[in-house]
Amino acid sequence: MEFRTAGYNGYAVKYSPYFDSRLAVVASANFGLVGNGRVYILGLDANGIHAERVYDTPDSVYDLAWAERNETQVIVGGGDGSIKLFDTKSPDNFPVQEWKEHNREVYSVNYNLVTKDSFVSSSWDGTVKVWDPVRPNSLLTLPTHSCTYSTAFAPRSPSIISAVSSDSHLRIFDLRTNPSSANHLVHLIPIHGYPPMPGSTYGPPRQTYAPSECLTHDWNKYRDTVIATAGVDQLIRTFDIRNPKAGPVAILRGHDYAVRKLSWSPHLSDVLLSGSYDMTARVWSDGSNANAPSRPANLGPEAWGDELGRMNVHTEFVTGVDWCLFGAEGWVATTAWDERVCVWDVRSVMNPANASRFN
Amino acid sequence: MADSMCGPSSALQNFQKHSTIDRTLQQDRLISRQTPSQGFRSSGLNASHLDHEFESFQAGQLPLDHGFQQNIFQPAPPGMQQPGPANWAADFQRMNISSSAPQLQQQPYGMHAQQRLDTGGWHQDFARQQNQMADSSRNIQIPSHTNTPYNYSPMPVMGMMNQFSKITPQSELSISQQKQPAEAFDDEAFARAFEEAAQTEMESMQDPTQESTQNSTQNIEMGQDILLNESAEVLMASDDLQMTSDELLNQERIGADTIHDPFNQNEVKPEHQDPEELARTAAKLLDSVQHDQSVKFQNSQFLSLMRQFRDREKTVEGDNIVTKNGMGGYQNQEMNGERYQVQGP
Repeated sequence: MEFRTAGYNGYAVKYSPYFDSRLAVVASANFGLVGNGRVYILGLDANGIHAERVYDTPDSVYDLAWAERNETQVIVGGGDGSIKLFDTKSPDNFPVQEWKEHNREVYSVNYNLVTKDSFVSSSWDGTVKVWDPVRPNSLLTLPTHSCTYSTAFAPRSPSIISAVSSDSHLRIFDLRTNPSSANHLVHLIPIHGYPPMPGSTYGPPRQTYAPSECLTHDWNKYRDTVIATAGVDQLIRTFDIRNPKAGPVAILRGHDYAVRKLSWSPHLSDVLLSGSYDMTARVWSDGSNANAPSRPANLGPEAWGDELGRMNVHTEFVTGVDWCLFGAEGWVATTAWDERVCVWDVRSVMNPANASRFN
Repeated sequence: MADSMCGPSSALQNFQKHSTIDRTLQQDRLISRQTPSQGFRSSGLNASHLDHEFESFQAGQLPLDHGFQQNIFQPAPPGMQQPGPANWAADFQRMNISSSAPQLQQQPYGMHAQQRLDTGGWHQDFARQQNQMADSSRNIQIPSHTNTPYNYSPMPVMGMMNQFSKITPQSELSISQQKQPAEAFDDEAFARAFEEAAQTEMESMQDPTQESTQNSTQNIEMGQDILLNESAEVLMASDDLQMTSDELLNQERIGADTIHDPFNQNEVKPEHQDPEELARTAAKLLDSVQHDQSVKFQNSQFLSLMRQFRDREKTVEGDNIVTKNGMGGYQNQEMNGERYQVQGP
């Protein structure tokens, strides 16, 4: 199924956590270079996809998050540094709440999945901010000093926040720690790998990579210490924050250009979906499920994981991917700069053996 | 981390931890090996084979003196004891000579690490490496970073730019890594040989800008820091989160941070948007994808817009993208009905 965001190039898509038939999409004119943005609330029915609500914004919009506590509210982050809250119950087409604290483009917003009373945003101004939707100001500002493309709350903890940024690092903040000079920072993981440790004789020599911008990350929904990251160097990596110094657990190689967005499956613990500047969306297994043949550990992280399928429909860069929480386990939505929102079943791009893993 | 929670941590304190650390397990593992060099990738089963290859390599190509040869293949005494903590830096250096140096050259091309095990001929690998680097650098003629401050919401363009140009920093890195062994040994002949190799490599890189030269120098310095005696300092820093994050501020900025450095909040936002800048950026982006002949990339509207930016057929004015006429003046867009995007409410 397909929907055209005519005149606007898609930037992010999210399924509603309340309804299996509702999607929100943010899109920006002129590929987000200049001009305004648009927020679409889409409904799915037997006849296809139709727009239920459309909100125009004066600047590009880059990311959105459904409010976990209120099924009608959507939070949107935009190019002018503002964060807007839209409520579909509101009769007019204006945001019901707006926060303006970030100095530069807001690249990601994500809701707290446990307490459901706060959300987190990240921006090019090098900060991550924590917000309560009922308060006019942010609760907390966490500095990263680097363009932060993506931030999220841990799915199982109300106080752990992760962020990935342009400086090729994954940061983990724990709000329970003292507000010391570390600003709640508990882990700082170089995604490209640690420099070679002098004198270390342990294990096979670790491969190192050049630092590159990290554009996206996501927490695994089942293994609550596992995070996947991806970015400019085209590789998808998984990290286990129980052992932050160990480097990536798995490295998935395959995209031909930078990876723009990734999302773990809410149904299968080892499956993730990625969208890339190579104009494809791909489904991967990180090789952690019990059915995967065990591989010798000394092959290194690149030996793990497989591409399960590849969706080739989009004709411009794929920028938004999300899994449907309900119904059949393979349904996903993707959006791209080709002004299209595609709702499709990942089983349609897989071989039958892999597809049978989805119910 | 525990330290920083409980009170101020000092560098001295950290160093003390490292010098008093219990290394018994490591010693056990070291002693239990039959030959100490077993753990090194470039010796082991292939050692005798390699010796032969090295000799032919030496005779055929490079006038290396014997000091170097001694360094590489000097067998450590069997049953070697792990030296005390005071000597570990020297120990690391010795180990590095026999294993890390060739391995570092492999690093940017992870896929070939496996091939290496099969062939065992490291000079062949080296030659292949050179070819690959020449190949990859031929495609990429743009510098890895742009410091161009400009004022459109530059995320898509700049993001793309840096994303596509990623091969360049890699080849820079490999240049610097190849230089490392030469400098670490202070061996003139070896350095000369490597310089020749690097020279041919650089020649195939058509347009190495000043900036990338600077970058590679920086990389060399960084590499040496890690390799040489200052490694103790680095080790300490990487153990202490606070110090690491402070250090990050001094790290070379990449990607979006080169356009707008969030740490430098006082930066003046340029009010004037330079259309030339946009054209240049678009040209760089197109250069970086020009090798991609796939139908999708040929038909991409975004890339065709970039082409128009490059050819100055279109430019950004205020919040709109407008079409220029051939004379370089601006036409009234609304009269033409060509207005690209009408500003919303």
